Amino acid sequence: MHLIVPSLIFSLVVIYPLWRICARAGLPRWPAMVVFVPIIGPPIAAYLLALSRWPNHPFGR
Amino acid sequence: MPSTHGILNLIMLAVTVWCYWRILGKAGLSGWWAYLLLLSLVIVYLSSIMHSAVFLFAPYIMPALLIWIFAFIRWPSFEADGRADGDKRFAALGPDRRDDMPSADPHRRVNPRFRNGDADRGRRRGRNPEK
Repeated sequence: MHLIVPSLIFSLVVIYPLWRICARAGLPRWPAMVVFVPIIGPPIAAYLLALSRWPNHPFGR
Repeated sequence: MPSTHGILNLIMLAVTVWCYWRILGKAGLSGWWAYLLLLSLVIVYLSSIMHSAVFLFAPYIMPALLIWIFAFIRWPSFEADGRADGDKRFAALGPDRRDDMPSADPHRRVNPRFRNGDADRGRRRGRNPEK
């Protein structure tokens, strides 16, 4: 419980900026929702953002 | 067992730093900013020796700060086109479509010695490439 509660509070804090990052990158919003998975959610969300192709990127990276 | 837990946390931190490095690189920012995540270790250490309740939230403080800052600062890679607010504004360009020289791309670092290789070669051979 002492690990899950801080993780959920972190998810609530970062969900809006992550949503915004996904929107700016042109990605679907579900990677932002992955942060709600306790403990392993935030690294998975970072991994998805890092490895996916950003449709709005000027050079298609 | 606690040491295994610590090693797993360090591996997770290393993977997260690598992911942040890539994300920052895509946005046109220096990947070195990802190393600010290592401050989490300092915060965890300080809060643990002070027996502070911050200890529980310490690993999340730096990532949350970085995510908030990253979401609202300008992304240099995305300023290739002035029409910055449209949806899928760069889709028409296609991947790696450039009509200018690599040295003219402000987001690409080119050694100034190789900026205009053809002209330099011509000059060395005694020819004037301007003619």
